[in-house]
Amino acid sequence: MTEPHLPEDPLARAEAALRAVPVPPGPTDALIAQTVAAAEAATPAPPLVFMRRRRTTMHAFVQLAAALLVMAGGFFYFGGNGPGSPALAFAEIAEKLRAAQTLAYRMQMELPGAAKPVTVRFLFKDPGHVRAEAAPGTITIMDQAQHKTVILDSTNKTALLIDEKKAGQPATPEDAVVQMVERLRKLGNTKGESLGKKQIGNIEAQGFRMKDRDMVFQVWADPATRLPVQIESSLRLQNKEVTVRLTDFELDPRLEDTLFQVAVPAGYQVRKTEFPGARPEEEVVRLLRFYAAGSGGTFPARLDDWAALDQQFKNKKWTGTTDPELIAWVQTIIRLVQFTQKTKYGYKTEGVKLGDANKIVFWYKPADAAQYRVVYGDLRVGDVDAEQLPK
Amino acid sequence: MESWHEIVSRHGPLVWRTVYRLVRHHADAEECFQETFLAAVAAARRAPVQNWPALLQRLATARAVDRLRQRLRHPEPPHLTEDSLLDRRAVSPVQAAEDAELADRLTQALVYLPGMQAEVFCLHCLEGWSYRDIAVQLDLSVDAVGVQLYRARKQLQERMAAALDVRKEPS
Repeated sequence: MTEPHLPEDPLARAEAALRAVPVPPGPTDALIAQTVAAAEAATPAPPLVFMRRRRTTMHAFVQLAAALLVMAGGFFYFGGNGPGSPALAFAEIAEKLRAAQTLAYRMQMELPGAAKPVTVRFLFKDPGHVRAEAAPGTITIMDQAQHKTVILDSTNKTALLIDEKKAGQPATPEDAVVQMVERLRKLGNTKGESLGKKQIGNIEAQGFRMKDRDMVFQVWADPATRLPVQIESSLRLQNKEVTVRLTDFELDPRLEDTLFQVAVPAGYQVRKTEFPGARPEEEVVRLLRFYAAGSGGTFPARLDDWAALDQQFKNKKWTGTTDPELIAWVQTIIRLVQFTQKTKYGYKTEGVKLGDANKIVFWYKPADAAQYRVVYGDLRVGDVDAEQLPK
Repeated sequence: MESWHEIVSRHGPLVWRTVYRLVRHHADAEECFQETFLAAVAAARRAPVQNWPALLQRLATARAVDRLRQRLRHPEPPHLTEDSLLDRRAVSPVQAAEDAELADRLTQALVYLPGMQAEVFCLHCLEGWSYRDIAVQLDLSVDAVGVQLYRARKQLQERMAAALDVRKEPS
């Protein structure tokens, strides 16, 4: 037998071959022009006039709120509870998600009252690093292990550092961003029902439908790559059905560690805030007090009437998307969205005005409590028996 | 900061050469080119850029390796990379074919390396960066660069040997 003719060190020869690859002339003028245009478009412009800045900030508020809502796990519950017998392809998708060390996708959501859909790009990296990029120029970076978050407002060059440990409010498993990723990865444990095929772009995607608790999900995957193409769900917000769509999935993309540094870039003004742990009734009192101050003493008809609340916010002036008060309100809304979606509660404000000390406007039963926690019209908090609740 | 027009015009050829050498496909190279500068926009937003060529070449390498990985996830029917169709009159056809195959094998093996190793390997072995330059750009110690490079080479050698099906005479 003769030895095949092979190089002594294939790697060295391959390196030399790759270095010697002929490179055609480039880049073309057209490519340079396109790239310059894209780079300029991606570079946030400084605010020109107050009105322009305010509009931007308001839009950024919606973006930021959406990002934080999703990051808080308020919208997605992918985890399955019982044993399932999913279709093979569906299990494969879940397995790929489970195996991924990094994950990226784009979330699009049409919020009631928002002129344009909210789009947020999410990047995840094990263990527990999350980055949310919401136009225009608002980036939120979370380190779950360190319980730290930084929100960067590139328009106003400000950064808000949030230390949840110092605030005495460590992230709970329910709130953890990593839970959302974990739920995505546990899709395979959820029963899947075939939806057939649908054309998404160039892909004839295969669909699966599953229900978890009170939410329905549609997962569309590429049969060739076994990767998710689109995940869709909906939720009730402001009494309307809101569709949330996740697209542009990338599994194991290269994500540099620098993307996830909870650090303040040079030249940014630093703000700090602490969020005191708040019970639901405290958040309700805060919200009702704010609303009544702007409405002449009345309360919103529903606790989850975010559109009504938004009207009251129109007179607020924020100093950018890292304004601590703005973030505190976003936190309040997140907590209340989660509360109203997960907890049985009562709310009755018809005929009640701020200061009505004997009328109960809000009630719920805390876990393991014998009595109901209530909020009165004068915004006092108390505990009552079931028979004392409004009919 | 210089205008984006100045930055792209001045450093564009370097980025183009870096990405094309790895992806060897015109459309892919164009996409990587744009992605590199968009990543540079993000980097410049985070901190002032001290060394544009170094930053851009590092980002270009990372984007190109990403593109190679995407190809692995979305495999296309085997095709000749464009450089194999380019003028190869300077070398013999046999050597040109061998070189093209070796280059293919190397780029295929690169996608299996962890990101940092792939980047260190490309910057040192293909772009000629020193350990110190890599250490500065990737925020590593010089020793760590050496370790990453050693691991990368070891894995690449194993993969290439397997791919080339090196068989030895039984003793």
